[in-house]
Amino acid sequence: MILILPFQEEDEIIILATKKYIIGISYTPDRGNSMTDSSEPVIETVDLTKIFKQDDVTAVDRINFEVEKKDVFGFLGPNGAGKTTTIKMLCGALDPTSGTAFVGGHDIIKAPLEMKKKIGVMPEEPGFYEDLTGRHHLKFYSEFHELEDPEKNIERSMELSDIEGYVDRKVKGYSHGMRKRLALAQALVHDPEILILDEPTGGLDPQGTHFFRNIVRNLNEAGKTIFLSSHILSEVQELCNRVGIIHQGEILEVDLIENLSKSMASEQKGYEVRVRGKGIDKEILDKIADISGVLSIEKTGYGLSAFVEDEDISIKVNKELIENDVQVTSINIEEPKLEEVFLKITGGK
Amino acid sequence: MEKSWIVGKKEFLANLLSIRFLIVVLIFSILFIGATYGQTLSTRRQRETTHILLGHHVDLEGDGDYDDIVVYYSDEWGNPIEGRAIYLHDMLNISLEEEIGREGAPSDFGTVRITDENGMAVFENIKDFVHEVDEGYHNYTLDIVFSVEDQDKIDRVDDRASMQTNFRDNKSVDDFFSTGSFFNVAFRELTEGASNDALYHSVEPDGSPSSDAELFVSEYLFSLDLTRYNEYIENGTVDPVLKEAFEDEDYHIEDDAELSEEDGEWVISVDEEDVYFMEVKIAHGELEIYGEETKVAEADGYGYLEYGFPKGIHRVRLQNEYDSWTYTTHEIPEDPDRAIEIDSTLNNMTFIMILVLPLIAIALSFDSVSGERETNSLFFLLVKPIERWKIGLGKLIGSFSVIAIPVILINSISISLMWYMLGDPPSLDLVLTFFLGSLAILVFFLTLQTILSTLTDSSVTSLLGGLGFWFILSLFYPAIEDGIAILFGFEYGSYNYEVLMSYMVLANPNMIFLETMEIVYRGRFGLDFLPGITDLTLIIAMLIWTVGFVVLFLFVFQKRLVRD
Repeated sequence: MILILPFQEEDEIIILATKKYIIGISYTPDRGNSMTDSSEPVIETVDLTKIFKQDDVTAVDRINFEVEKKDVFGFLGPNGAGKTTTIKMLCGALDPTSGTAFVGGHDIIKAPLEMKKKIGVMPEEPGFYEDLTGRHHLKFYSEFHELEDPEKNIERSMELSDIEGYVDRKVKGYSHGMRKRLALAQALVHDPEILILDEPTGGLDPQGTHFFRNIVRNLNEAGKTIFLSSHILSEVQELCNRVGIIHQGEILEVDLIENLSKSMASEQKGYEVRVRGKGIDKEILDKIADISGVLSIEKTGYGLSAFVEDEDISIKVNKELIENDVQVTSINIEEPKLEEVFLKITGGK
Repeated sequence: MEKSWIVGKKEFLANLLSIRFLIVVLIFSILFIGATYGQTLSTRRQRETTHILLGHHVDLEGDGDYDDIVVYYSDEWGNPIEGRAIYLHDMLNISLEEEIGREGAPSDFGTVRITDENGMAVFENIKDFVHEVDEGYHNYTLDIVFSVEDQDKIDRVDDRASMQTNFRDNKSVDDFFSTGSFFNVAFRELTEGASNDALYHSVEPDGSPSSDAELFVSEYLFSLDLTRYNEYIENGTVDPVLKEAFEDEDYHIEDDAELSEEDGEWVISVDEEDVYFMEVKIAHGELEIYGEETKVAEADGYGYLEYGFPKGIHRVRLQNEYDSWTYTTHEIPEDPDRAIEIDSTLNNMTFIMILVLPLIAIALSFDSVSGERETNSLFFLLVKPIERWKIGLGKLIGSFSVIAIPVILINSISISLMWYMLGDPPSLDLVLTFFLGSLAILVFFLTLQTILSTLTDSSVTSLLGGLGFWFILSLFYPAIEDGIAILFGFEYGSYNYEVLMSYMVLANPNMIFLETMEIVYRGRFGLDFLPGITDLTLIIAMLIWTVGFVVLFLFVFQKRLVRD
């Protein structure tokens, strides 16, 4: 198939490939923010609810959110917040008590099989048949999908997950990291549009964590929509463009990460300007406090710390310090962190 | 269905490659083939030690009662003769009319009632009793056996336990007897040190003894009984020669019998001084028995053959001083029990199969679903585009086929071993029933165990549940049957009891398998049974327990695979 694209100078083309295979080509015309503006929802929940009748626990309570095409959506929440229950419902491993969801355009209740063709899922704790090899598993899982060349798909998923070295060994000898990679390979074996990853880096060493974060970025760049649950805030902040925060079974916030940061900055303390330097006295502090846009200021052991409304205010602060002969060693501007956003939204619980 | 095959293939492979499967199959092979070997060896030994049973039926004592002389020879042709016995026995002379009484009349033996109601003959309240004599005791039991010309007319025969029969096709009792058939009523006499010899009298439809059909059968031999000898002395009917022989308190014919080889001939004889009735010679492929009769001129002894002969004997001659009977090999009847022995061995293996096979199914499927829940491997299946019931069907297909292969293989090895050791194959219909029955039992227990595994949260609970069902259905069922009969107030051996037992068979696939084997095994004699239950009912019941149960399982699986 030949695809002719109307390139312009500013357009972006990303080709994701292994040594042998092209995984995906992402063509992004520069028409503004494509990630958010022009995308359609590929996951949409409608009052999705799960009540575990045996324990009379409402694990997920009428949640509504959307994940748009090519998003890397971070599903954030502390342990027990309802992340895994939500994921299980989204991928058909658990039946909702009420409400529904549309995944890949298909109702998870009315058309579960069609929905499952479009997703690849990696659970937090993958379980395998211990006496079978990794290759056995990939062959087995690939057979559920009508693939033109299953062997090619298997090879590709193996290469992407970097499991070729041990794929012919029985799973019973695999480490936790190897199992995670095999789980990723099975999720990719049918080249799904949507990847649902539940705590993908949980329990991994730094090298494994790095690998998974890279592959998430690469797959997203290749056009995959990724729904990623995590309780690691830095990971979500690093990988995701949008985030949904779930707490005690309820969705508290869904937004772009940058919007969350901005709203946090405006609603609370603003940006923090940390100045390291010598010769800062009370007179200088008062002068800086008088600058328009400076919300608060205090003397610290290394210099001063001020909260300002906007990043540009830090330039005025710097100018004032220089005019008063302060020897400035460094100035750092700290954005409000997702952790702070999260703590604020969840009330610090 | 295609996706069920995918799951089935995985299930097959995962089982096949597991150590557990290897161990379970190995244990099954050892148990089952070992049991087959033991059972077949027992049959073979039995055959080897009961090759010849010849009897002379003469009135030795001149008292009007026939006595029996039986030669027992107990080794294969050509081998040294190890066991021999010469047996003298007085025919028990009990008048049925006296002891049982006319129809409906009670006696010490019970009541005989032959009725046309429901085409059934009923012998009621038959009981054992002990008849005390001066020394020792004689324990008589009453057996009802049937000797009929048209055996297809009999639908049920059971000796001792129930004493009742149904006639097929609603034949009346009159129809039954009009064909010349007759009942034989056998008194089983168990004397000290002896067992299992039976005396048969025939009985007419009105319960009176028949005058023209008497037959004595002795299947087991024992040494002379001093008690009986004392009776002879008291009655003054003892033969003078016997009297002389018995004067010695330690007299024991077996001990006094001799074995000698003369010019290549083996001769068994009693002490020369006491030779009064029997000599056996085996030589050059000929077995010769000479019975020197006593002083009863009018004795009209006749010989009869009960068992087959060792290979190699091509002629048998029986003779006494009055007459001689010679049989050549083509006239020597084949051992009528030969085929029965082989089929009986296979039939007995059914009991082993219903004990062992369910355990195999349980051991390999107790964690079929619960284990996948515990390891979370079920998750990957749930998120694949396949209906849940198809996952269940695939699991059954996979685990059934992976166990069925060794079962078929081990059954084949067992039957081949039986064939090799006994020299003849079992009947094809019995073999087919055995294979199909085994596989049906496998389907049932696999399905049952997989249902338990689906419904329980832990594999341990599932395993305990499976073992519980195994205990009830494979071990404890007869007690449950009797318990239910007691609850209903049905007397043991009554018609209602038998009908209840028949329906209880339908409630347990193991019992269906056992009874189907029994029917096929006994079918050749026209002696199938189970009142109120047809063969077709049994087949339908087995289909329900297998196919129907699988459908139920799929329903349960679809609904309960994902637990809230």
